[in-house]
Amino acid sequence: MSIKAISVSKVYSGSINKGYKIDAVKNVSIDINEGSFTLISGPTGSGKTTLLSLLAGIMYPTHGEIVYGNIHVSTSNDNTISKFREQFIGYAPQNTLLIKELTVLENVLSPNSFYKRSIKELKSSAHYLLEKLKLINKKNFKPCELSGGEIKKVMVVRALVKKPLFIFTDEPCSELDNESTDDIISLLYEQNSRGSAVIIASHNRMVLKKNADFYTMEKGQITGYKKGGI
Amino acid sequence: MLPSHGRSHWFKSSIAHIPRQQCRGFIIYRKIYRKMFRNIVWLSITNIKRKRLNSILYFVMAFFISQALFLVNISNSFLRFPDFKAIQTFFYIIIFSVLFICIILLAAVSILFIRMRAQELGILRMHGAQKSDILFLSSIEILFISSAGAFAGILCVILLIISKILYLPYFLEGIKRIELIKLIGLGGQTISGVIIIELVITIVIVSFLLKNDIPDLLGGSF
Repeated sequence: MSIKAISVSKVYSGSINKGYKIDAVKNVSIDINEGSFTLISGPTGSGKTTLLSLLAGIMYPTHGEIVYGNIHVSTSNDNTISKFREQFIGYAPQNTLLIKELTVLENVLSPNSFYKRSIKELKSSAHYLLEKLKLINKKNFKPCELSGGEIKKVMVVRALVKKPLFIFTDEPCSELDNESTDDIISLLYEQNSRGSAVIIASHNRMVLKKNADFYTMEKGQITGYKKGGI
Repeated sequence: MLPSHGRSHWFKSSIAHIPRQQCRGFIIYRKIYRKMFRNIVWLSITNIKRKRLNSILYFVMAFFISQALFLVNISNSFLRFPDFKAIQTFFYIIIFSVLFICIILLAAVSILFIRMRAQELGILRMHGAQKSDILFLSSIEILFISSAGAFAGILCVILLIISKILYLPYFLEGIKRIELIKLIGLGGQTISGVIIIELVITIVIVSFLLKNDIPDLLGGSF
């Protein structure tokens, strides 16, 4: 199983200023294989988040093609892409995206409890992950009672709880102290060693693992690639 | 330790405990959909519990709509106004005005609340929920709230009439001849009517909202 981006571009057009267009990603080709560890780095506004969202199927490219295994995004319907996302993809966004009325545990469980999973299995997985990130004593807290770093951790747990094959995390270590960064990185390494592909968009090169794929982006294009480190 | 990875094939893991000879066709799907249904019911109860303000407003709307509809139903079925055409017309105008205002309010509240839930729907979609699943979830939530609200509304009207607080001589005259079964039937009819009204409004608004892509639902921040 792999995720391929073939010459993908994403153009944002301004909703107020109609003529205004931004080429967030330009003609990028990238392969993400099962079990790989990938870091996408680059300055602010270089298109890392957009590329991550395109690969995760959260948005569709303006040009080019995204291929999940043998599923071509451009020719597939929304249900097929949703099913793929549901089964194989975990996504931890950069910004705070938690349901404010729900508790930490409910936030972790609720988006993942559609379909075949048993709540019991999900709960045991969520408890394990929350324990690992030292959030277990805050499982009944609401998002407004958490710090920025803790919210980040909850979003990582939510992405990992269904044990996806592809884990996308956008700046997972921003707003975190060194200890929390280590906790998250070791958790991502653990998931990687179990066979999940981990794809991180980050400025923090500490997250880089030996044998990792390291991409650098600038102005929407991939400007560098190194295997196994910086 | 975290359960083994299993290549994320939850489909397989979810049926792993079913004996092999049963793992065929309909039985597999029945098991899976039963689990899915249970999960969605759990999710809807969690949502109702946590979003109290939203739930109470829908409950109140269902309460008033059911009362108006029930009064219309009772008057249509049991009361005859041969000599009081003007009173009957006045009565209908009042009841239908209340009903109309309630339905407009319901639509307005639904638009407001469901739009406020756009980000939540975006989060669910981001993690792979299909549009039909979200519609199903919203429908189950509304089904629970509106049926409870409608039931309470009908009970309230019956109690008011029986205790003569709602003093309508024509009603009382008719109610003496009311058969219980018929009254229950009318109540059921009213509850179904309220559920249908609330469901249709919710499904239409959620469907319109779900036409947006995930980044639009999330307000561009992800």
